[in-house]
Amino acid sequence: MNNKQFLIVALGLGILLRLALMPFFAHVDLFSEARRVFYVLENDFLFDNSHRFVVFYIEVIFAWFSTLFIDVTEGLFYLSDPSQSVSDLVDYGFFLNDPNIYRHLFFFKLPYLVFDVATALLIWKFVDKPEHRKIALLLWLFNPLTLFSTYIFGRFEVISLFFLMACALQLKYDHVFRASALFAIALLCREINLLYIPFLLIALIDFKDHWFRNIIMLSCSAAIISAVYLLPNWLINLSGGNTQLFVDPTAAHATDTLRPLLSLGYYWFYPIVISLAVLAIYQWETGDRPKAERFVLSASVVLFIYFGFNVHSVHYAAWLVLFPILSIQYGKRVVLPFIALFGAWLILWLLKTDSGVFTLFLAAPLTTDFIGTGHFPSIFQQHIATDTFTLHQAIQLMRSIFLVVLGFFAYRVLKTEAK
Amino acid sequence: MSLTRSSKRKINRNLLRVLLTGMTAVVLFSGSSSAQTITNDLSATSPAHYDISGDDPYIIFNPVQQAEKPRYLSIDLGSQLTDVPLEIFFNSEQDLFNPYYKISFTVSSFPAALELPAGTAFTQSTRLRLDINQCESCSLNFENLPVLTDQIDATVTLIEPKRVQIGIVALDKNSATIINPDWHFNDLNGALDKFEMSADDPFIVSTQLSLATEHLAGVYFKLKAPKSNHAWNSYQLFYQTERHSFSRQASSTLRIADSDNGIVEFMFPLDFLSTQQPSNIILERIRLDIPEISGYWTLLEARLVHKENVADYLRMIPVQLIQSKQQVVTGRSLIKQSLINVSADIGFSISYLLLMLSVTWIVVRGYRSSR
Repeated sequence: MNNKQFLIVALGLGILLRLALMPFFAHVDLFSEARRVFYVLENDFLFDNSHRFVVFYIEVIFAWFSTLFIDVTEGLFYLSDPSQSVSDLVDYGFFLNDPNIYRHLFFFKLPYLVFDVATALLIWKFVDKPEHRKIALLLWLFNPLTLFSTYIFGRFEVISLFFLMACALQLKYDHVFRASALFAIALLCREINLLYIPFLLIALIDFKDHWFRNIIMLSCSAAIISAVYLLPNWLINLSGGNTQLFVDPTAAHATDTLRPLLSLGYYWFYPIVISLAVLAIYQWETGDRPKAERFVLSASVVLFIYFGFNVHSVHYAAWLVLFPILSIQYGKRVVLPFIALFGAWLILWLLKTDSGVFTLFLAAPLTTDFIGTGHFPSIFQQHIATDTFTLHQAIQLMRSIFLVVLGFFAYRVLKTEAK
Repeated sequence: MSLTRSSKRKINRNLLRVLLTGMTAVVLFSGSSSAQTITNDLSATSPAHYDISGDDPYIIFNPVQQAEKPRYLSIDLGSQLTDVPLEIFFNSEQDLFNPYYKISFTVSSFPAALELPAGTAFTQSTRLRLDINQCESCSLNFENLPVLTDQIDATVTLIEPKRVQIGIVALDKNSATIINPDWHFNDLNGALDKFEMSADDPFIVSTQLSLATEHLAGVYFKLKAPKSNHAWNSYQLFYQTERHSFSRQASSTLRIADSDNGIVEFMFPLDFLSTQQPSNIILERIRLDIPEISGYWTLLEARLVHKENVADYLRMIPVQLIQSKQQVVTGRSLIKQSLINVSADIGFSISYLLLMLSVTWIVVRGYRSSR
């Protein structure tokens, strides 16, 4: 099988697997997102919502296209108050019981499929050595984290990852300003990408070049990122749009989150900041390596640090996948850490699951309890847990193991391979 | 209230087999089969003393007959069973008891006497089943077998049954199936022809229906609703059976569009009560929760729909419907239900399969041409 044949077969199987998952699974977040999209379409509020601007408008375009094939007039996506757009389980139940539920799910995930496959092609382009690019492609196409978060949970993470991928590719070709613009677009997809900014800027520094040229180049890149990032809000304000369309005025204000963040209210905050600072020093010290390599390696470890101390939701782990795959280009041996990561992630979230994660509702178009045995935690409590080994202890144990796996992964990514 | 012989036989055969199959009975006393005392989920701690050991504790026995025409069943079960919900089933075929014939009661103190329902003939050969409900750690003293007697002395507590059920009403497709107009109101003021919300949990509850669900297709409502601020409004139906009271896990919610003239009509399907497991249970009462809309409401009609008449009401079942069931689909019914779900959007299903085939074909062709 030559390279081209390998690409065709792998992509084909990857697409078939994705198509097989698309119509049958969903988390309530997908429905909430669909409601917002159809609310904007129905009311012609096309220049209002600025939150995750790029993702949202990609979804709007695909949703508009999907109205050629689906009927949304039966009040299925009815939203009486846009500031309360997060669906409750009753509304979600109506959605899941709709006779056209399969086509709804299929069409709403269609943009994710497009960006997912496009990312796979860019990965193929990014990695040079044939044997490396095959491993990289297989890891992307068949890793359970991406498949779960995109086609079972039904979230849009791959769109953000696509723009990060494109950014890394431009860096590989030394197109610094294009990379900056693409990074800004990725920022408009997911706020978490803010974590990468210092590492991108350090990666842009050419340590062999004059300091003055570096300052000019960094200033321009920062200006591009800021301009592209702020542009949608500015345009929406200029056109008299409402940037607060889906913002719940009763929800906790951002400052309420910031205050405990800075006062150790969140136990994970300072360990993450200290570790990121150490990583930045490491990146500076390895300034002789190519820009793309420095960015890819540090971006991989940024998320290892973040998820080492902070778990969040099950599907966020999809962010972990891209940059470690790209590190294969630089001779990093990541297959074993990936396998360990998948296993640790699965067990951790089986234990830490809630009604929307692994069991209940995922195949709700067929039955509200796909497996028919309830949640794994309840099975654990019933058959495995003892007075001395409770569910809580099992979760803490798995979180520790998850941290160890990420540490192992970071070691493999940062380790200099023998030539 | 009584049933025809053929329908009784049918109910006994179909319903009770399902309800009581699988019981793990323990034969305690040897002797003639009719005199056997059988227990389930009760473990003997000493002769005629039992602790509850499972979810479904009951004892089957023959009473002692002291009077030719008994009026009371005298019982003495020990102090642990005071104020515990008890039930006596009294119609059986080979120890399979018909749930449509039972007396529900609690006892404040023993010894006690239960007045036998009029029209019933209890003898020492009548098999009785005593069920102990809602008590996980009770014990039962069965030293004194219940006695059929015609007189009781002053020291015996006379039991006031909570409910006596003799037979069941089956839904008749030809007779009137309009639900009795005596509804109980909650957070509502007025009468059925004009009522309004008085607090934030408005609902109406039917009178006792005690209805066999064998032929029940659903419940149809027609209301005149006040003008709403929302384009779509939700209604929720709770159904109480002999197995459970009103609960969210046994309810259906639908959402329908506001109409210009205020008339809303819809049907909640309840056919699963007779088709999914456990099946053919008794529908006791229904409750309709209405949306919180200020203004005057009118209940124009509430009807139990027979399966043979369901065609006239199918269009009244809204697309947006959620049903929480305490029944489960199993076996062939599950496969059938899955196929119904898939075929609900046959256009998509076919297109989806074609898409999968096309991708496969493109991959195979691309692979061959890349040699």
